[in-house]
Amino acid sequence: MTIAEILLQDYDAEMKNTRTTLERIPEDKPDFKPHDKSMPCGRLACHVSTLPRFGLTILTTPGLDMAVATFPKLVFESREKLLSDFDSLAAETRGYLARASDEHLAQNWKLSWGDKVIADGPRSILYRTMFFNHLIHHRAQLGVYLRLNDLPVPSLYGPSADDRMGF
Amino acid sequence: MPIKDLLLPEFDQELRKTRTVLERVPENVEMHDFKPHEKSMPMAKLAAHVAQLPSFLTLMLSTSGFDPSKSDRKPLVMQSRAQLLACFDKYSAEAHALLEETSDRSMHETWKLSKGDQSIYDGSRYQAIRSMFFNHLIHHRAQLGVYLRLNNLPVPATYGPSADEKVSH
Repeated sequence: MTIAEILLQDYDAEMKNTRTTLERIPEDKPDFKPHDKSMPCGRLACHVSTLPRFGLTILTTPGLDMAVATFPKLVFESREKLLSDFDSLAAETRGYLARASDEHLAQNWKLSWGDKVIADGPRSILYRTMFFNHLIHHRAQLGVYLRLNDLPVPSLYGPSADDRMGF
Repeated sequence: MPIKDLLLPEFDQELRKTRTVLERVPENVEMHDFKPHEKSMPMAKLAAHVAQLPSFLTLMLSTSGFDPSKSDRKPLVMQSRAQLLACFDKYSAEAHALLEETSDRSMHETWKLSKGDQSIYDGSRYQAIRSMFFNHLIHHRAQLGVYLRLNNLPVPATYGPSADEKVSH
């Protein structure tokens, strides 16, 4: 089995879980945050919906220097925009991953800030820790934001209080 | 590349980050019942669930399936932060040792999760550990981070800076 085939195994299920969460983001509360120091709901949702672009960057470039890179603005416009950004980026990233050779995925990718190296390791590992796991992390936070707004929380790895999955 | 070689560096990184979050769970027993919402899990229960998850990886790597209705496996109960960390360290070390010995052949074998007659998961062991261990752990660890935030406790930088810390652990 190639590295890409291994990495693809949970891709579709997790992207579907992510879409389900994004579909529930309220349109009328982009400024909601659970705490002064937390990211507002709209911004966090945009971060999640555009994270596959970071996966794409890891797959298609030799590295990223954050001192000179430009990042998306993360301004919530509508749920429709959130979902269409997510759908196209998730599909594009999936396409690149499916075509990536073992050799390409074993090569190092580097994240830096000017001269300071933040991460330097095989693409296969950084794809996972910097993109995929990062996405799961912020999606879980969004689940708490939904809960705090009395919106139904999807069941992802087991029953939620709103969806018992037969338990 | 053997699948375990793909998983081990990630295991070490993610478990280190998980330990950092568990180290911040307050000792103050009054905070243990904290929940952000009536429907949410109390903090101590969520923290214990996270600390216990590596033992679920060991279970997945050493059995062909699991049926909670036929098992005497009990949820870990938090008594103190030290006890939680000791359990987490022990479970993590066991899971790491077993993962190191797991062949690709074993990764591709079928593993099942069921409840009596009801099948909940029936697929490869690799897919099971990806979803039910790694992704599941990251998910609940992130929720625990929000619980820390809501209690004005410092939130570790996990995949990038948090409002309290610039550098990841």
